[in-house]
Order: sequence, then structure tokens, then C-alpha cells
Amino acid sequence: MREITLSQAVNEALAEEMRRDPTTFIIGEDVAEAGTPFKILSGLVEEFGTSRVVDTPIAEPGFMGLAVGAAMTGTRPIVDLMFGDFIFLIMDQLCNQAAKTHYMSGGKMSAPLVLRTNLGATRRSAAQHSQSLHALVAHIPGLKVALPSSAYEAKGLLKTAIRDDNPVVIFEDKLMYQDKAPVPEEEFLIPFGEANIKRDGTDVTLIGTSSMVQVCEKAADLLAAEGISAEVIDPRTIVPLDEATLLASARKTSRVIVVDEGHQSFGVTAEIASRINEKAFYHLDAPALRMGAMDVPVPFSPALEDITVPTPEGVADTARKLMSGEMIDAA
Amino acid sequence: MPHEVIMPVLGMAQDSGLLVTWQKAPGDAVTAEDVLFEVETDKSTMEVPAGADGYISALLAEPGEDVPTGQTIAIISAEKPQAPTMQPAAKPVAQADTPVTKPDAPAPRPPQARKAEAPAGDGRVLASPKARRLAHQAGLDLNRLVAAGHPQPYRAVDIEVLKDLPVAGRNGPDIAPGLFQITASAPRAGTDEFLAWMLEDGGISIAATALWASFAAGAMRRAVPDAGDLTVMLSDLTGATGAVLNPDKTRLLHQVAAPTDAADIVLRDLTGSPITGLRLSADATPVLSIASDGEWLRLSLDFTTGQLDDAAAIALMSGFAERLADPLHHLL
Repeated sequence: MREITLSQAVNEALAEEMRRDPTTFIIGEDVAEAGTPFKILSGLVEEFGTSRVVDTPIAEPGFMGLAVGAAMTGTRPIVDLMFGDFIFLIMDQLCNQAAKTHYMSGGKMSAPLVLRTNLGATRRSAAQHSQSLHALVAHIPGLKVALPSSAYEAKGLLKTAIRDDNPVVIFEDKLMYQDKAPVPEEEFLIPFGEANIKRDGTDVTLIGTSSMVQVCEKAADLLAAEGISAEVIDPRTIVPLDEATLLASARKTSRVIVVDEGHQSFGVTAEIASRINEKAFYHLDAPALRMGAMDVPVPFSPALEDITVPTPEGVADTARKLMSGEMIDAA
Repeated sequence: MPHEVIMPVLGMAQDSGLLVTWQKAPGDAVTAEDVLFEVETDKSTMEVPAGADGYISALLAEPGEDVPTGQTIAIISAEKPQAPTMQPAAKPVAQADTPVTKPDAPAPRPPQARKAEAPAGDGRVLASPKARRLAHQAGLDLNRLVAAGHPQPYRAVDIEVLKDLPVAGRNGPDIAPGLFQITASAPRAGTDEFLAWMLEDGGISIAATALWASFAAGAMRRAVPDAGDLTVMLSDLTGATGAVLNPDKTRLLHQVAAPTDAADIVLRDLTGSPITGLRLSADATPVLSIASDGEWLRLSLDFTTGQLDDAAAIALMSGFAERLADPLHHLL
């Protein structure tokens, strides 16, 4: 199968869906000629014109509000938010308006929009351009949240998101745009709420999101060399969450580590670990553990930044502790 | 800010060091390079410098003491201390407002360097939910692992150890050696008809257990010829309900009560309960249980080799069952 970058996969998904559905359009900063700072959208304005690839001023609340209104009135906007950190600027439009449109109109209206943005640290972009804020929106009922872990997921999940009749937020890892993965040429969609078991294992389950799937797979390699069989699961969407697959794995291995790049406290890892502790309690041989980013603003110093995020070595070390029965003092 | 001197880690995998001697006394002035104490590890004895300039305000360990690494053993202060102390293993913070401790005052033991967390002192067993479930499903008691000194917390893998532990663990129930059982059946009608006849013909109302106690004593006296006085203790699931002396020799209406603590045989009445058989721990005497099962009474006799020999036990049970089936046997 051909291999393409995550960036190309996103570009393909957008082009295919825009060809298929004339009500779709892209809106955001530097989305047309510039093609975004990550060069993801290059070529789209040439094919679809400036009426469907709409450059906006640097005014996130404005273009997000515009997109929500457009979605309510019959189009399918695909909003490009240059950095995930800017989500704080559009919280009202996203969480108070788009997320509640279907519910508060008694089902008479909906806001079928996609918000594409990013997450991920270690790009030396400092504290205001390095956050992983997906937990903020996952907390809001009415929003679906997808976290692609490779080019394949990026394409299949984005196409599903664009066809969804309610708002979906997709966080791509900005460090992964140039990562290549096999992606079929023929059309495919990845349904929401279906986790992907990346690797079968029997001793410990590593649940990773976004780029943390790679971290978990590398940790699994380290553990395999020591005879510890790690299962790696990518939930692919955290809302909806494929609880059944995660619980089945937890019951099988009886040990779980949840790895996510958001801050550890009050985050995605806590939610998933808690559900496992609640619903697979009598099958666990150790508490399901969280491994998130350190609860600090992301440092600009490379040496410091690198130690704030989960690493394969750190995940493997934690897995060893679970295997040896060491008492875990929760962080 | 006083400087705390700790027991240093001088070798790989060293948990503690033996304090050989102090080279300074409380109140002495020291410089950072001065040798403060000697410590012995498994490899060598080393002299350790003070590490800070000042005065010895406290020495917190005694020569000869094996001190965990990282534990504070001396305090060096910048100012000359008012009351330098020789205070093994006391907390330095206590110095400010407590009088100088006498050197011979009993000192609390220093906290041990901990590897795994020690089990809570409240008697709870630390075990994973899965381990608890597996133990429960297998009918195993985690306390036996505790008794065997198996380190906590317990995980699923420890249940395999538990399964292999001999049943009579250190704290396990004392199962008497050679516990045997004989079971038998007798029609219920024998008892019912006899009691009905007593009531109709003589106007006498007595409990079935009184009749059974008489039968049990009679059967036992026949089985063990030189039995002498026989006390039959009556019990049910709640425990002893009474005891009678030689009920086979007295009239049913005038059975003689006896203390319940020295019975020769226990008659356990299960007829009012759904339980048809049980074997409980720590029975000091033979136990004859009677359970009802429709038209039948199910009998079981539990005994040990020290209480009855096989022939006597068989004779006892046979005699009892015969009496139940036909009370006239009691008169033969």
C-alpha cells in the first residue's frame, strides 16, 4: 500500500469531501494561499476557489461564530484553528452555541461543523502554542472528539467528521504532520467510537491517544524484550469512547496504563482510568494508572520540555512496576 | 539554616550503615572537612567529613547503631547551640521546645527504610480486587497467606501460592486428626406416631428432642458397655439448648437437667432448618445430627478416634436409628 504523510492524508480527506458535498467549505487563518503554517491545505484553494477556502482576519471568535451560524443554516463548515491553544478564544461559539444547538432546538436544528486543530508539545513552541487541550471540549456534552494517531486515522476520521450532523473537534498532533503511514487509495471512513487494537498482548494494556499511540508501541517493544506482553489500544475517538473494547482488554490483562499528552490532572487519562477502575474493578490486579503531561505550563527550554511528556521509557518503567506488584503511589 | 548530616550511601545497594564512632561531641566546633564519624559498610569502614562549618547541635544516632541510609544522624548549626544534645533517633524539630533528653532515655526506633508499603496495622489484608475475587471464588482465605508470612499486597499470582498452602496453616482452624462420620436414615413416622400415642393415650406432651435424647443415651450405653453416667447435650444451629443426665434411665417427663459443659454426646437438632448436614470445627464430643428430609430423618454421627472406636460408633448409630424407626426397640 502507498504511504503518505498525515498532512497529505488530511488534504486528501478535505478534497474528497469537498468534491462530494458542495455545501462544505474551509474557513480560518492562512488557509488559502498560505495553506496554513503546516502546509496542510496546499492546493485546495486552487481547486475550490476562495469562496470555499475562506481566509479570515486574525479573529478566531469572529470566524468561529460565523461558521456556527453557517452550519445552522445549511452548510458544513470545516474550521481551521491554527493552534489548539487558541481554542480558549472560541469556547462560547463552540461550547455554548454549536454543542447545544441540536439539544436546545429540540432537534429542529443542528450545527454540522468540523473544527480541525492540533495538539502536542516538544516543538519548541513554548507554553502558548504547545498545549493539548482536547479534554476541555471532551467535557462538553454535544461535542465529539477525534484524536487521529496516524495518516490513516487522520483521513478516515476526518471524512467521518465532515459527514457527521453535529459538531466534531479533531485534534491532529502537530509533530506528526510529516509522519508517513500506509493509506489506501480507495475511499474509506473510520467510524467513531471504535477503538483499534494496535497490538495484542496479555500482561498489561497500554491505552494511548494521538501521538501517544506511538509512545505506547515503542514501550511495548521495550517490554517485549523483557518478556512482558503489552496490548496497545488506540481509542481513536474519546467522545464517543469505545468502552467495551477497553474494558475487555482490561479484564484480559488486569493491568492498564492510560497515556495521553494532555495534562494529567482532571484529564482524559483520569476519565478513562476511572471508567476502567469502576467497571473492571474485580478483574484488576493493580489500579488503572494515568500517564499524562506534567501539570506545568509547557516549558520553552528543550531539555525541560522533553521531560514533561510521557516517553516510551517512562511508560515501560511504569508497566514494569505494575507487573512486579510494586505499590503504586498515585502521582 | 542548620545542616543535617545523613547516613550516606557508600556502596551500591546499601540500605544502612553501621555507625562505628563519633569523632566529635555535641557542642564541638567543626569545619566541613573535619571527620565527623566513622561508618562501616559490608565492604569497608570509612571516615565521613562533617560537610558544613559550625557547631554540633545534635547527634541523633549512637555508636553501634545500624542506621538506614538517608536518615539524619547529626545536626550542625551555624551558632553555638545553647543545649547540644546526644539524642539517638529523636526528631530534630523536637529540640526547640523540649528539654535536653537524657542519654539513657528510651528512644523510639528509627523508621525502617521501606521497600513495599507495610501492611496497614489495622488487620486489613492488602490485596488487589482480582486477587480477592479469585480467592473468594476458590473459597480460599487470604489470612492464611498472612499467617504464612507471604508479603503483601497480594495479587492474582499470589493466589496460586495460597492454593498450594497446606490447609492447616499456623492460624488455620484446628481440624482434629481422624474425624469420621457415619450417616443413616430413619422414617420420621416412628417418632411422630410415638409422640401422638403418648398424647392420646396418656395425655402427655413431650418434645421430640427429649425422646431422641433418651434414645441416644440408650444406644450409646449399649455401644459402650462401661459408659457410666451419660450426659446428652441438646443443641441446634444456635448452640447448646440444654443437657440431660442419663435420659435413658429416667422417665421422659422427668429428665434430669445437667450442666452443658461436660457432655458425652451432642444431639444436634437440624429438623427446623434447611440444613441437612454439617461438620463444624472443634467438637469435643461425638455429635449426632438429626435433619428432616420429607418422610425421613437423616442422621449423621461425627466422631474422632479418641472419642469412639469404629465398632462402637457403628453400634451407636445402628441402635439410635433402630429406636427411631421403632421406639419399642428402646425397651429391648
